[in-house]
Amino acid sequence: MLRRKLLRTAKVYKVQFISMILLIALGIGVFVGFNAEWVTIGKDTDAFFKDCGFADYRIVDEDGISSADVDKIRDIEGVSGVSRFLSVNADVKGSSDQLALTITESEHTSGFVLTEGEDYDRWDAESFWLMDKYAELNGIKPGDKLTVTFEDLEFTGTVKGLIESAEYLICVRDESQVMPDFNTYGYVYASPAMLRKVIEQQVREEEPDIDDDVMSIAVKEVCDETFCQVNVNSSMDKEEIQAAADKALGRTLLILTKDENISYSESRGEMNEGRTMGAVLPVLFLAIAILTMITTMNRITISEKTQIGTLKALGFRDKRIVRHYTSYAVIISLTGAVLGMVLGYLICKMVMSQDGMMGTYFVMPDWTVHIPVWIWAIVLAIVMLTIFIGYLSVKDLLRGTAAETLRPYTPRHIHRLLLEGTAIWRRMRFGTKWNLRDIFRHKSRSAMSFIGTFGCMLMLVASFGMNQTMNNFLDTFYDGTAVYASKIFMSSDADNKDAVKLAEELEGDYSASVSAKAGDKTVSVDVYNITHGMYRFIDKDSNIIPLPEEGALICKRLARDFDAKPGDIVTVEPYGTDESYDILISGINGSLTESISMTEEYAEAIGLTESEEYRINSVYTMTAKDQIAARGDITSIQSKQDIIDSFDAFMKIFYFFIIVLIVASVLLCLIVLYNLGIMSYMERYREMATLKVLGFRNKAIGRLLISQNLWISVAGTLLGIPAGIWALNYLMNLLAGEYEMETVVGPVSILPATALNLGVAVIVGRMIARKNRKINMVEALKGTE
Amino acid sequence: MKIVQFKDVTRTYVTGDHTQDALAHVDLEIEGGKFVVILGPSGAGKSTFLNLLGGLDNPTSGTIIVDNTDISTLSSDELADYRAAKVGFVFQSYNLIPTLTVLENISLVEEIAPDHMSAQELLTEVGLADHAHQFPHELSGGEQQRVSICRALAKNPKILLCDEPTGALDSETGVVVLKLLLKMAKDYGKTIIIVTHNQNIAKMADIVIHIRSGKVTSVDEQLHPLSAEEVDW
Repeated sequence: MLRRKLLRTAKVYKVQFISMILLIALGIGVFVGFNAEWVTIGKDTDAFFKDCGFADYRIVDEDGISSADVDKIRDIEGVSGVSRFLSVNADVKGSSDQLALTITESEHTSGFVLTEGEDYDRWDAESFWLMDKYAELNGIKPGDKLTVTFEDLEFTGTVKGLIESAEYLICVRDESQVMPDFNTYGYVYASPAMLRKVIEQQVREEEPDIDDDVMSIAVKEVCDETFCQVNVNSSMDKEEIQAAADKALGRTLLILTKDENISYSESRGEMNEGRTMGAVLPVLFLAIAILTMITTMNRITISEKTQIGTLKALGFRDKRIVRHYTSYAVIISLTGAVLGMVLGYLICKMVMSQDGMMGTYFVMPDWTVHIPVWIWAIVLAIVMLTIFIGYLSVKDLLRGTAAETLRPYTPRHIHRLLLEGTAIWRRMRFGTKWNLRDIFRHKSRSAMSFIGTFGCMLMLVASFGMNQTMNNFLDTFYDGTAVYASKIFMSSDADNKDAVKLAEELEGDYSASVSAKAGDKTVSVDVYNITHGMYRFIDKDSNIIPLPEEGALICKRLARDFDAKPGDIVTVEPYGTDESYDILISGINGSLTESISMTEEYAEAIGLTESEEYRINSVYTMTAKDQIAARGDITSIQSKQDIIDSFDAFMKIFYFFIIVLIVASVLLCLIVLYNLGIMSYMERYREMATLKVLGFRNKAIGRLLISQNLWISVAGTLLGIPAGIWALNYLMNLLAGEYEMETVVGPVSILPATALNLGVAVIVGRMIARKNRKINMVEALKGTE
Repeated sequence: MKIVQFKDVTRTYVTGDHTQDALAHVDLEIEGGKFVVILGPSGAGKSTFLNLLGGLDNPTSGTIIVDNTDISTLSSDELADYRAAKVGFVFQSYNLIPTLTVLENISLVEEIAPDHMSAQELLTEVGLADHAHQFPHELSGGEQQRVSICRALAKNPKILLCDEPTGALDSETGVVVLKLLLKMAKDYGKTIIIVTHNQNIAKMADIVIHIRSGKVTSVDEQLHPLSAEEVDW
């Protein structure tokens, strides 16, 4: 019988029951969704890196790495895998597409995962293993012929398998491309045997009469020169492997860690960003949901006081009554938790799936959503907590005798407010006094309404602010610093004089980037020749500043890492050289990359332009991309719009989370306010009926109800603004390692956030106010208080 | 002058398939300035009568005219205005607003009643001037009912409608409250209609209306009503 009562009571309190389930589902959903996302990124990419033998270190020597060098590195204790590795952007014959032609001597290091076709065969000189996404978008299937050309080498073969490689988890042409374009750029693996065959053909074309022994030596030499990189799997730290490799090979080598590889660093970046986001706003979100649920649960139990007393008077044991009423909490929290887990899974899946947001950025075979044990444990703890609160509420009511429990619940008596007796109080209308006293009489309900609107405003301001901050960041860099219409990427073998000439022809500016070691960091030393104002610099407050004539600008992140101030000297050592340069820091600037920027004159003064690593690699011009003639020393040309578009695509993932947060915040605010509003309506039902009997019109009573909600919402909104800005600053500081963003929260963020928060309060207020039309004065005023 | 006229008034309640006439074809007229007691057993339709007269409920059929106004056709807002101007209620359970002080509970009607009386003066008259700034829960039941009477009178209505006004009070306090109620009604020239099943109260009335099974069974005019002191409580 009690079971029937359970169902019927649930029907009576259906609004509260549904809202509690929705609250828990939303809270858990957002929390699980945000946190499962970064955990899933970590686990799925880690598994992919492991399956592909993703290299821990990349040892680079521009002069080439011989097979003897490889043997020496393999002999280093602590090295578990070694493979000479080649990756060059090759043109696809018959189209304007490019593929990263990749050769790894050992498929166990920097290899790939086969998704269709035949396994890799390192002795097969006639076959390719092609990126599956590129193949799919270009209608290429196993068995199809493919030809790619790199410089004057032509590689032709049959596509034997479709693959995915962790080396190209983020498959971009170069650092200038932010988002992959699988339609026009992918990667293809060829065997070392194919490389040897192609080199052999080239040698034979040059020297048709060459004998086999000489040919073998010639091919080996060319191969040794072609392979400039050896990829290594090792658990050693960088210093250890640097020392061991330098000693083994007898020369200083450039060793890049996996953190310097875009696939690894970006996936870790995404993971850390997700972890930071997941640890702040969704936690707050969950806290509001739980608090509101607890308040509602407690109040429902209180409103069942007489029924609890009746059961007790009838002879039901306390244990049975407790079990009965606690089962409401069990049903609500379990249903909410299950729905929340499903919602969280779906939120995560919307991002982390082949067809999801991250699917446009990462290419990997396994997109399994991972919900770690600690998330399950937190959800379980939430369920247990709500059940425990439900239990305590009933237990508290059962403390007295049956007669005491039978008495209807009377809210705490009102006490005088501090304001009373003042002139302001005397001038207040009765409705104002009534509402003010009611707020203090029902403190927990009022506090929850406040926390609900405050928390939602905080999240809305933080979400809109994050959006504004990001847009400001992009505007600063793309409108502020990049004045040019096109950026031309010069090839690595382009002559500096030709690049200067090209810049002159196009009335543009140019820059050279030298990759160098500074302390234990890899930095980009960027040398600019700005005569046409194609590129500008900003200080740490985003004001345009000129490049100093004497000294260089250091970006904010490096300045922080090196604790560098104007007047300090930073020493850099360009990779691939034994040189070092002392750079005078003259200012700190905002930059997209971790860089030190200087004029060509200053670079000349410190001798950097004489370095063999000094190569002009970018030319900036106002000439449109399609007006620039193709030539051998130009790798690619990007219009400013291309860069902005590709960043926009990248930003979609970010915006998705912002939208999820905004929608969830509005929903949370709506549910919290409606739930507490209904509770307030029920608790003041009798008072409103009295007012109605006295002759107050429905509208006037409605205004009373709305105004209390509005006051609390206005207070929550006003205090939520600084709290939202604080939360955003906190988040941005945590994310500071990734971006150099200045928090910007202006009317663009605050106005829509305020409109949404107060809009929800007004809508909910009107929904509840409309209910007073249905107040049954006769029924409401029956019985005793 | 007839202040209340019920013309063939029926109020039917429908519950599922079941319909019940709480009042059936009631025809009744009440003179202004009289003290009327409506008597009847539980479920007879007394409260329905009072609710219809007070504009808390609408008749299913028939016409109710109060002070020359047909209230049976008024809209929700017009009924509110009617309640604000023409009738004052006194309930068994006082129905004071717990978050307003005694004085505020009375003066809140100033916002709706165009012809309201002074709350402070009324309080002085009922001997509660010292309690003006206390909250209802700080008063005894009798005191709370006195506040309730003040609130009903503060609107300066034509009619005072009282539903078992002494029902929640002990008999001694009940008599005090009743005496006060009658005195105030007389002093201010109000028609007072009390619904009760206390036969003793009926002894004090000018007119006693008996209701049974939704029908008015008798309307008795008492030429010599007793005073409260004369009634054997």
